[in-house]
Amino acid sequence: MQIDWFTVVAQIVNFLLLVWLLKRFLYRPVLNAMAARRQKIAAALEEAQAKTQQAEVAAQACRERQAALEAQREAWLAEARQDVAARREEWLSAAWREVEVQRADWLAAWRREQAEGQRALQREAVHRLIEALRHALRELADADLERRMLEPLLTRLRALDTGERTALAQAALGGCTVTTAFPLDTALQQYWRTVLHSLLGTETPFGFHHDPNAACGITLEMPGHRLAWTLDSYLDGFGEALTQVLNAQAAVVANDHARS
Amino acid sequence: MTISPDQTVWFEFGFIRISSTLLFTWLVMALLVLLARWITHRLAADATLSPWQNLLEVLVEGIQGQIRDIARRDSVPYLPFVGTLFVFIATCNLLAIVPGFEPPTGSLSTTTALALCVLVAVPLFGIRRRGWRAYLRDYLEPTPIMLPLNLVGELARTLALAVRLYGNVMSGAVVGAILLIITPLFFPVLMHALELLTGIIQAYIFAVLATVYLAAATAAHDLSPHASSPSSSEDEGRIHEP
Repeated sequence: MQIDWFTVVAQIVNFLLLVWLLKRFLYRPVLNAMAARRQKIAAALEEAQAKTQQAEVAAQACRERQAALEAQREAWLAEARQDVAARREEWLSAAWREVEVQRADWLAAWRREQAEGQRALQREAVHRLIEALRHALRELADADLERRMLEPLLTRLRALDTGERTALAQAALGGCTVTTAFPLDTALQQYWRTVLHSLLGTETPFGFHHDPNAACGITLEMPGHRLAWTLDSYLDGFGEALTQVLNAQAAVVANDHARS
Repeated sequence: MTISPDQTVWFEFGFIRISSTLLFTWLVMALLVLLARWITHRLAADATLSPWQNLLEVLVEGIQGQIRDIARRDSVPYLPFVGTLFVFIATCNLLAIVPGFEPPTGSLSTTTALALCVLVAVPLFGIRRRGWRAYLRDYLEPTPIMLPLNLVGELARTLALAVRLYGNVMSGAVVGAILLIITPLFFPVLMHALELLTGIIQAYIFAVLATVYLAAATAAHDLSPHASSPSSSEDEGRIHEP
């Protein structure tokens, strides 16, 4: 184990030279490259951070804008829903009103038709009744019945007031004809002539006429006036009275329906 | 069988003796410098690295990390010295596996030279960082009576550095040569592989001990409450032009 001091000195020099060479060709370039890369990475990170912040700001703005658009959309949707609901309500109300009008018209028409039908039925019933009565009375009519019918006419003449009776007497001066369905016998003609002379005056000319086609009863005709009491006129009056009563009832029912 | 490469003299002129130690040292120096030059010639600061640049950066970063862990301070001022110690010793020890190569670290002259470099570098770094008075005051601590012992301690650790490295490398080479004679087939191969490991470990130990000595020489400066950092954070990791 010997130490060669020349080698020691030479190795010291060699080592120091190697330190200098490696510092120049190894450590400095490598450290500089690492520092440059570190700075580049730091710059890239800083840039990335800045861009991230910008992206965050942009994303925040985008989110706010999206939220605003969403709110506006919701507002528009709510307004549209309100409009649709209002329009629907309006159309439904109009449709209901139209339906009600049509229903009321239809009910009114139906009631009118019902009333008309009822009235027609009533008229037909009255007509049938009158015709039945008329037929029955025709079947039962004879000279005696007609003779008894003279009294009501006389009663009506007696019930006239003075003015009417005077006007009737003046008209009778032009000729007065008594028409019956059955021929009057002489005594009855004389009776009628006496009574009429007492009621209308003695100068009144009377004529008796027999008409088989006339209704059972007696008709007193003079210029401008006609007095009669026949079964037909009686039945006609009865039918008119009955029709008036039925019409009055139908009017009451129609008014009740209209009010309801 | 030669124990030390100093014994193989290639050229001698007066006191100048060019032995295998110097020859292989120059070879290692040339190899390291050329390799470093070749790799750093096309360094890239981009994110993509070449494998060689990646290797160099891993090596440099690893040495820096070790210095930082041991010294607890900025590693850049120590990197060229400590890093060169490690790289040179490790290269010499690794190349021992090449047939015909005699590692210069197997020479006591080489290890003595390296230990002397450490011996000189320690006060230089200490004085540069702390000043003459502060550094020399350490030799009088804790009492001036300790001055001889402190000086002996400096010399002893230098001697220990030199002898430890020399002994390990030389013993490895000697043991390998002996085993090559006794069991020439497989066992020497395993021993050479083991020498690679011990060579790296010895380089690591030498560099770490040098760092410890350097750190101890500059430690008091950093413990001072009024001390300022020797380099700003912007300068860290960058070597400036001398």
